[in-house]
Amino acid sequence: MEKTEVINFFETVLGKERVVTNEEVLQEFATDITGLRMVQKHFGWKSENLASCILKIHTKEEAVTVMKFINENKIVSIPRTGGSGVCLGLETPSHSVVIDLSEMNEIIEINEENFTITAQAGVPLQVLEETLNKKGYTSGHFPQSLPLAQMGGLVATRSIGQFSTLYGGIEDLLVGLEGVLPTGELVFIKNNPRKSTGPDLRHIWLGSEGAFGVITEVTVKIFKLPEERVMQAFAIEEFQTGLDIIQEIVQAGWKPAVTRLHDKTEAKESYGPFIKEDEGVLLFISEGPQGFASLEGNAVKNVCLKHKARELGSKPLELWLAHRNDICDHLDMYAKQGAVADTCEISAMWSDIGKIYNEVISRVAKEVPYLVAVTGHSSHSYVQGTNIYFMFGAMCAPSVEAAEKTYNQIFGIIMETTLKYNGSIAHHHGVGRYRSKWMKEELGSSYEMLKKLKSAFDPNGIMNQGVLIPVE
Amino acid sequence: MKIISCIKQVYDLDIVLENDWVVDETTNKINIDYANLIMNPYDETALELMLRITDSSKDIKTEVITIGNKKSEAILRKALAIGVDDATRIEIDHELINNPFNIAKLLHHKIKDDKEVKLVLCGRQSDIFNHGQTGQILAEKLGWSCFTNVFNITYKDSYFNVSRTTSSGIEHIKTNNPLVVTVTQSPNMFLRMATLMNTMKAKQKPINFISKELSEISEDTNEKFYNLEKLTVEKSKKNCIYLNENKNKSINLQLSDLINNSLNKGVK
Repeated sequence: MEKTEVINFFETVLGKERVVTNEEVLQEFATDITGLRMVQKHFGWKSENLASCILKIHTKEEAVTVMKFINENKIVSIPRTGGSGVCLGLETPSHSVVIDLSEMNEIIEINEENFTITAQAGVPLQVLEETLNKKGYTSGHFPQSLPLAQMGGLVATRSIGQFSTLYGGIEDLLVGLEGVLPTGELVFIKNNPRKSTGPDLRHIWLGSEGAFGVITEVTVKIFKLPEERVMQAFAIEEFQTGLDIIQEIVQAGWKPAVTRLHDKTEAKESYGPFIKEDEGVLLFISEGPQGFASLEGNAVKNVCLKHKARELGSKPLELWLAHRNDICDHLDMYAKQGAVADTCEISAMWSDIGKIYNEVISRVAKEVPYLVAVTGHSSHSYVQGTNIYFMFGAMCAPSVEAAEKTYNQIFGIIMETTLKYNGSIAHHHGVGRYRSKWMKEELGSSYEMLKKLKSAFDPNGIMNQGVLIPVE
Repeated sequence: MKIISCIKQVYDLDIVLENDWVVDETTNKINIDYANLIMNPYDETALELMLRITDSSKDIKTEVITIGNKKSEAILRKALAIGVDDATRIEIDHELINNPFNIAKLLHHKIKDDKEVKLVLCGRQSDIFNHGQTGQILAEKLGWSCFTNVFNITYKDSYFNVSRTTSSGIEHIKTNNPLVVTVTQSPNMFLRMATLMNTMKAKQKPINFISKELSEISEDTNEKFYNLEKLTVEKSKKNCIYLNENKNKSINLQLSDLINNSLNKGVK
């Protein structure tokens, strides 16, 4: 079908003003905020693959009509909400269509009996949280993308928040959902606290990254704002000691909402005046009903002191709370300095996570010629293991190709090392197009299940083609 | 030829929490000791400009100077790691350098006899006292030209080409040397990053050290230090007003009225 015919159809359904064809806007929507593209843009990168148009969807009925049309005409389409992806998951193949749900932004219901909130896909998380706070509730979900992210995208990327050790990831928060399948059927998963009715269908959508359809509405849990909060920081000499402390705390059954371990490089950068040379930093926030936070706080403190951690008081936490999302204000600062900089988060069992951290830090420092820094922190912990959030920066020759080569080298080391120790290549940023090349190794024999799911839900292979499963 | 960039270590004020801007009346200070020490952002831009000059003229030698205690060597090492040839630290009692005159005097003492020096770059002001005078006083003492608010400077055929902002626009000046420039920040100018390898190497490089008493270099015994009598913190009041288009007044006009009313009331 000709591009003009396609656009004419969408204009008939949505109105002319909600079918965007402006080239500048298409260029802006051609990618996400992946660190690689940030620096490449600084070196002159522009996408050669622009979408035909961006569709501003306002209702589920419009989403159904649009999905039916694109399926019948086999048009590749990219669902999108806040645009805060960091794995090239929002890159637009040529002649694709962006299904933008960011204007579906109504909060439908706050249910104070069942402790849920139902919101359309385009509701910004920040708005949702502020609305809840006014009523004495919280979503318990605070990803670093909080100022940008919207509800549909958070579910589609299996997001997690900085207070996850208590509240869980989005998979623990999602109660019900409404979405449109690639073939145009509107489907609804009703709200229930738990059920035993076959596979949990919510998990088809959680982490689907637009490959199985578009999410139009979500219902998530809400919590009472905590009555009490205890914040405490500790200095430790070895990163592994910090991991051991966290392991002991969570395996004892405590769940400090914020449980973070920063290595010596990050600790010096953010908490330099509090620590001695080469010390790392542990940060804990315990919160909940009156009495609970103090109880948990004491238990956390006892474990830390047992491991000879040094108390730093609560000030580092005050600083962390105030500045934890600053990066969103100056995302392209490193790019302007000509540095390839990004983050990469992986997870592994307690038996392996320390090995991955040590090997990545050591290999990147040895093998990347113009490395500026490579650091790591653990920020989401579980009874069985934890994550490491690597941050890296390296200089390169000022060209699009050199930036990609450096980026690939560092990312490659992290992915390779993680897989070597049976870790997972993505803890919460998702797969996108960038990490899809490692998915076969990540999933092993279960990769077949993912391929079958994709072909069952999206027989024409049009939904966000290239994410999760690379285009062959 | 040699170029010198004067750099200063300051607290990272972006880190300081709003509620901590409280003056301790016994010490007349604000406790911001928990903030990291960084290079003054204006000095970072000046340093980057210096390095850009040497990127295209390899035979120019570069040096950074700071006045401060041992801790301030961190910024000198950072400068060495990104390609500066030499670094000098002038140590003096911190209380004696809380004014631009004494700072300029120390810098003048270091620079005046070095005939190789043709350009000195200073940040327009430091983040901590905001006097914004050191560069000008230094130029006065050296008897050199001085250009303020410089955002770009290049070197070609023995001349410096200076770009600076003024209240009426931008000036591009071709100038002879020696000269002093005070550098302002520009949105897309960032200090280059040091690679890990160069950071490690810079830790081993020597730093020149000068320890001076002001009296040793002062020619005028009547000079007095500034004394900080009182420090106050003005809390800014933030307010959010939603403007809606209405038949009687456009949003532009409503905004204009709001700004004018605020100015009349002395609101900043």
